[in-house]
Amino acid sequence: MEPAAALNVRGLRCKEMAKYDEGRALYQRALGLLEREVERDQESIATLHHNLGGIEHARGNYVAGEVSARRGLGIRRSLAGADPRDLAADLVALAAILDGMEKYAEAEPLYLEALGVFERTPGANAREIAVALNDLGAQYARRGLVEQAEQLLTRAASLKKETLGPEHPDLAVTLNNLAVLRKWQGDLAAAAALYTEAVEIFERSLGAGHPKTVTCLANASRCAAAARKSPAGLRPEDARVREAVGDGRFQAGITIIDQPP
Amino acid sequence: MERPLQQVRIHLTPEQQAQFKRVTGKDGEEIELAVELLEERIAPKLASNHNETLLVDL
Repeated sequence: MEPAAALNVRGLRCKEMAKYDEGRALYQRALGLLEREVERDQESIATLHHNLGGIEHARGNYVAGEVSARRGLGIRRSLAGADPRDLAADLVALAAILDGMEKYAEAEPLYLEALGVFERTPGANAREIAVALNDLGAQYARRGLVEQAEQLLTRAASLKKETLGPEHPDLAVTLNNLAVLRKWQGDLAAAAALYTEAVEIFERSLGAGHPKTVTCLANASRCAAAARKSPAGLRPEDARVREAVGDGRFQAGITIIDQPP
Repeated sequence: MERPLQQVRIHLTPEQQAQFKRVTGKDGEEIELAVELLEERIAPKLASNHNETLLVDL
């Protein structure tokens, strides 16, 4: 029989490839195995609930995601020897789900608690920190807190580039978020350059049909459309926008906008 | 301020020393590892996924 750890690894891979039903089934099988054991590995059970919440977050089913994420967090908090870094990762995961439901006031303190834990804990994983910075930065962007958003997203992008490399889809997520922020600030040239980079990374790493690639491309198309409609027209320094609009990449009729933020 | 990671020293058997020499080309009787790194090697935990927010510009 396939052990829970192997099922979990396959579940993670399925989430990456947007095979959400398959990933969910794998996590549930792993959970079933662990829950039948006499001496239950509560730490692993908490992680599987965390991961089940992640599947629902990815497909925008936040209500179900919140149930799983809270269950995982509750189990982890009850464990005497729980690794604080895992607890912090659970907090960030739950906060991202709450953000999906626009429960910003509830999510923000969870991010701040997690970042505090990462700061105090030796051996904290830079990728986990970058995820927390990205998510809190995205929340600030949605709330119109531009300066704070820019600061956090820039730090997240730099950490991701340093630890994951320039071709990782997690980096593209933050570049997309920075692009959205730039567009909302009216800096269409900077937004277009960031979208170009993000779309190219998504296409190379996840493929053209992946929901993240499609969402980013749709964002880029709206940026290009805004540039075309700009009453001031394009300034000479907006060459990057002209390039993006001109080559037709961002003019495709993208209509799939049902992916979660 | 970040506190330093706790280190453990592990004495290598002659066979392990030979293996170490084959792989690294270096002589060594002991290896020193951070406890956290050692734990990750001998008792790997289930990996958790990340819920990353991807902003949509509607």
